[in-house]
Amino acid sequence: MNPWLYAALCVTVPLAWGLGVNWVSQRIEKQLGLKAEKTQTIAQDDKV
Amino acid sequence: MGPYIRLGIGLGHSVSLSALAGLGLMVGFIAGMFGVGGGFLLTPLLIYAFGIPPQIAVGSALCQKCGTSITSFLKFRKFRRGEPRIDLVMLGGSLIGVDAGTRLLVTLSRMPDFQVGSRQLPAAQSILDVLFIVLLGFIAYRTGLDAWEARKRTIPRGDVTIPGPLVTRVKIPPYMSLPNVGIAQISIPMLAYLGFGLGVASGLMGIGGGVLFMPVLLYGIGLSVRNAAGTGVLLLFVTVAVGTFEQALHGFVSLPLAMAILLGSSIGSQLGALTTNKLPNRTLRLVFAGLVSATTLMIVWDLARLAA
Repeated sequence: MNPWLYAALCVTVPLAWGLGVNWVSQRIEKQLGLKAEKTQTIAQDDKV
Repeated sequence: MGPYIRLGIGLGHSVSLSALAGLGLMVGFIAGMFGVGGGFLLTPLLIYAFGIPPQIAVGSALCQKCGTSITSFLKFRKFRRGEPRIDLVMLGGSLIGVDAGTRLLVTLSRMPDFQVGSRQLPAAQSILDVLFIVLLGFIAYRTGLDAWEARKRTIPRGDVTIPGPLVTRVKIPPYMSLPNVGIAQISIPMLAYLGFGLGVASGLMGIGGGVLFMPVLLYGIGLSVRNAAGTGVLLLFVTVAVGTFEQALHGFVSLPLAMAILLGSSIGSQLGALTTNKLPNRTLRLVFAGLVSATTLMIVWDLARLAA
């Protein structure tokens, strides 16, 4: 395989996977109503 | 455990895809649980637990980070946390750094073995061993210390920036102002050099750099945890994408290997994030310091075995 094509695939395939994971997790969050909880988790980061 | 992939490039043995996905699951779980990228654990584990050649381990770890970093970027962009201008200034240095790191790795992989007494030590693996021991040792020490000191803190710091030594002491013009995170002026060249250092670490060691970047943002610049977590995600994503492309051109990336790890880590990070809510922050930090210490000891043992 052409090295440039392979290099492009090595970046785009995991990228597409990551976008897919993000899309699925957003769908799940929306369905389960977890959005507020996640925001709260980020806000709690400063607590020791 | 099958199915297997044969990596070809200097490996000479097959690696189980299921075992790689299991490794990804474990590293992803740790990453999700502690809010770190996990690359600093992944590269050493690929080398020592799976016998993957160092340059392939570094390239493939960077490749799988293309998937995890885009997810982090989108997540933090949604919360509008952090200061993206820090990322943009550091990006120039980081792109040069990742190129320098990759070239260093190419040079190391072509170097002849070191002669220690009657033993031959592979140059790339020995140097990466030492770098990982220093890096992981520092992380274990810093996190352990932080957890210990946290006993005395009772009041959460909140979302306030307390300018650190990199803001108050480094006076190299020109400067920029970051009112969104409460910084009146910060040196642009200093940020660019920091970016260069992180880029070198990415290209040479296959780590995203988050594990180095967070202490810099928290203790060096003095950002709050929330702003620090949202800063650097854009930088991380672009740096790993460019680093992966360059390493793939040198033949250092195995896409099936990276995808098997990414499959596991995508599930593991979601499970890890759920666990985070169940444990106190101090316990999390102590467990994390223990895990990093264990990995450091594994590398020390490996280096000693090579030299013995």
